[in-house]
Amino acid sequence: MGVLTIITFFPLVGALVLLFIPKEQKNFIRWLTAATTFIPFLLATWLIFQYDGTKIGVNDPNSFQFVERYNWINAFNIQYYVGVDGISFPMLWLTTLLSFLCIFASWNIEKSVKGYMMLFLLLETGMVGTFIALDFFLFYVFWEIMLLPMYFLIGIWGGPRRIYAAIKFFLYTLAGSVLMLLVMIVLYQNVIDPKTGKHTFDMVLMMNQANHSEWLVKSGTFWGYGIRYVLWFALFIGFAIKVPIFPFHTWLPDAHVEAPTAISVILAGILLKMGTYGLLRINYAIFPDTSNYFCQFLAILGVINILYGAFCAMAQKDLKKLVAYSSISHMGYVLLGMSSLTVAGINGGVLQMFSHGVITAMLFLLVGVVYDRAHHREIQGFGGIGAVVPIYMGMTAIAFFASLGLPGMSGFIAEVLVFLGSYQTWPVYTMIAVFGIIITAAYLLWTIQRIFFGPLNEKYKDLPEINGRELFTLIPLAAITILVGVYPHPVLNIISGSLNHLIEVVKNPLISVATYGF
Amino acid sequence: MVSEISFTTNDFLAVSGELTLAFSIVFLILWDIFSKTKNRLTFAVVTGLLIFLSAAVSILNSDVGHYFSNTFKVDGVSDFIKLFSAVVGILAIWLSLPRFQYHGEYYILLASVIFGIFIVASSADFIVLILGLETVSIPSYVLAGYFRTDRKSGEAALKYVLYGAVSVGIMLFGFSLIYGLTGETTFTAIKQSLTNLSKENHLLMLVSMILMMAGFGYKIASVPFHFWCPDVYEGAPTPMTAFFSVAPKAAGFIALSRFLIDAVPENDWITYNWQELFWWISVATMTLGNLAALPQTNLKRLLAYSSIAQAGYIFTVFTVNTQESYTALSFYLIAYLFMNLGAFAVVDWIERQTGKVTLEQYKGYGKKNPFVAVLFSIFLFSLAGLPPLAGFIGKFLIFKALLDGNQLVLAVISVINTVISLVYYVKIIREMFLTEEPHQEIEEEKTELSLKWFLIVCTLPTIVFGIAFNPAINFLETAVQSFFNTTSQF
Repeated sequence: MGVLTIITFFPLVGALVLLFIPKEQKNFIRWLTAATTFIPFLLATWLIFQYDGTKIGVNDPNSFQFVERYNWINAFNIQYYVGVDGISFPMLWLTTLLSFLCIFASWNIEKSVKGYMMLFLLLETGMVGTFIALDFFLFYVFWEIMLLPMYFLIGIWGGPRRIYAAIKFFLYTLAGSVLMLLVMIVLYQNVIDPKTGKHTFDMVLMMNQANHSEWLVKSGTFWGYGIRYVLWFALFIGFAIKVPIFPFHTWLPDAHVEAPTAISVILAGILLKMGTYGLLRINYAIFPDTSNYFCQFLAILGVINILYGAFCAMAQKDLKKLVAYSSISHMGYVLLGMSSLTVAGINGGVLQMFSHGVITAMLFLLVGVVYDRAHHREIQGFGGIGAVVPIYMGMTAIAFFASLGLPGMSGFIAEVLVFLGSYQTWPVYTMIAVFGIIITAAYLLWTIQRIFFGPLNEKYKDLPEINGRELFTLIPLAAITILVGVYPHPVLNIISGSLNHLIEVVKNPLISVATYGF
Repeated sequence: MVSEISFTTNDFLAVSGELTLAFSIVFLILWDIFSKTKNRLTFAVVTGLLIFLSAAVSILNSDVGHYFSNTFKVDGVSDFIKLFSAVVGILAIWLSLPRFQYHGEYYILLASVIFGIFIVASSADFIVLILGLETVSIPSYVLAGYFRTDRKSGEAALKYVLYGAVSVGIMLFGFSLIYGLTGETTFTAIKQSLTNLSKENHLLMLVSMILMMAGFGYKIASVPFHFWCPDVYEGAPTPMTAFFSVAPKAAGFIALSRFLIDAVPENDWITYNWQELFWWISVATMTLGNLAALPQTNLKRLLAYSSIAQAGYIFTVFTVNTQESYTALSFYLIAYLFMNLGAFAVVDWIERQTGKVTLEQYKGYGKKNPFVAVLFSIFLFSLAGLPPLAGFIGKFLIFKALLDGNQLVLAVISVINTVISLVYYVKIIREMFLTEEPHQEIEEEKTELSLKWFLIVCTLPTIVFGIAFNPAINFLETAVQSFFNTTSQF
């Protein structure tokens, strides 16, 4: 049993152990869960030092790292096949980090703590598994496993409209993933393992288009459309719902606003990234030719996301909804970077995935802090509290500035790389997208002004300052933001090898779109 | 063409399981009459053991082949269905114990239904098939109306009888047309004779096929022969509803499969029309089942419509008609058996606690009895087809069979239906966990020990077949292979 398996299933084992602990012992349950999530984090951190940045992964089965491979279901050649490369490793580490911190952010949950923690641990297993799975079937199972705990975590511990938000999230995501299920089966039927001559779910083999069947490469059609377009699109919708890409985004504001703080953090920090991760890992690598063909389409959607998200955020009265829409906007940068098919663009995009995961986690944690004290999130309802809670204001300022891309913070590096790359390919779209930065700056600064400056709202003159536990969850994230902002080399070092290779694959696909068409 | 009827010992060995069960039923009747004690607990347990014994005997004596002048066929799938129905029967008896501890005849009727399923599973002849189907139906009518004083139960029985009589009548008419075309009643002989069917008789063949679908459709509860289903499920005693939703359906599926494989020739025209017919039936069945389930608040009706929808998913395999698709069908039946019985067990338990089966009763149940509520959710999620549960693997296999058979559109319709079905399954879960009544004092409920174990017995396969399904697949693949390969003894 390798270290990746331990990271994945340790939380699940922890959840099973929790089953036998009486539910009255709330504090013990909390500490036990914290310990359970700490071990995977430690292991993932240890892996950073073991990670070899020169091994590229992506579609080369020999250069994935920490690989574990066992036969699972022989009847269909389904394997337990896990491993990481530059695309998945930063997300894996971020997942373990945020899971650990979120336990502390959930400390003041009183309603059935045991159930909450068990579901949370199950969720962590699903998330980690999704990032490391290299077998499509395994990937799908993990992908779906995340849904159930998420539904309950939003639906039971959420805000007033939690039931609606939970089912909306569930249905949207399921609708996307059943399409993925069909694509998975079609791929299985049309990809042959050259060594054994059998059909396979192995994603790395699927990424070699030489293994694709004649039907999949050339002759296949569905209602008159080339099969590769159809499959690409079906996968795209599944992932677009998760990102979420306009117009599939409507579940997100509801889910984020109703979810408890820690779950919003996980949603925005990890789950959204699964969409773009899936696009890179599956759409880009398995269908490089089709992705190449559709990259302008992705770029346009990216620009729409950036601007639409930013404008919506500006109009929000609810602080959490504002952060939720800002997530939509920031995921647009990832898309724009990815679609540019340049080294800088895609590196920026993936760095943005990482950096946004950290920054948005901070933002949601900060919203949670103020909500716990004031019991509302109306931006207009505050005013002048900067003088009452200076440390809180400081932390918020760091997070907001990071989010708007202040130099010296990770968001800046990511966005600059994205724009550098995308300008080479899409100059016009990039120029339009740059306005997104201004709007982002506008709504974030305006929000800071409305909450912290101006005349003090008398209601909050005794607002308690941020406490140690909350700072404990925020400071590591702030440190990462600044560290990566000043010295992004370690992260880029991990991701760039794989991404540069992926870009080459997409730019020069083995098969060309010309052989098939609409 | 049977000129001289002669049966050998082999013939009787092949039906040893059926004979065992028949003698067991006679023995049980006599025991019930002459026994002095009122409590029928031992009686029920012995009934279960005898059913199991019969299934075991028939599996032990399973030399693949045709018997009794090609009217009776033993193969891997018939063995599978016998074992399957025995398991359903035993679980149904277990589920019935708290309610029917003093009713010997109840268990005898149940055993008779299983006897009928044994016959259906092996029948390779129209007459045997009809006999088998009627043996399944007649005790079922009595069981559906078992609560004589309850109006709903009476209505259920009457509906069941009327629909059953009419649809079997129509089916017989369809058979008679085929008999007119071929002059044969055994499947294999029909297939031979139909292979050279002349063009002008094609239409007649199609008409007879459609007429026969009435009988199969009635057993499976597929659209448009599903109308009896919700009412019967609602009116029948809940343990019986659980039983009806699984065992007779499986019998219907197996009868249809055998008919398709053994009696329908590889004729392009016929195959094409069959597939077209099945395509529309399956789409209508799953869509109507799912849409009708959405507004239900009576859990028994909801699960009735859900079972119609589930039958729709299973039905899609007939459009493909390959070995792979029958493996998928068999696996789905296994998954369906455990998740559906588990779900009905919970409904039965709550009905016994509160006397009602409406959604209201489930409000806040997650607090009241977390153990039962969590396991119930597992069954419901499995029914909805979420991994890593058995229901997902069942759907996965069916979709895979569909895509292998180039039924892409049907596969897309099926997955859309899966998403719709989630809405009403989650509705129950929402009531249990998400909605609370703040003013109501919730006291924890004590679960009956027997129910606890019943639920565990149903949960384990639901999870295990979702994670380690390789052995089951291998077993079913071999079974289906023999289902296809046996040739008749001429």
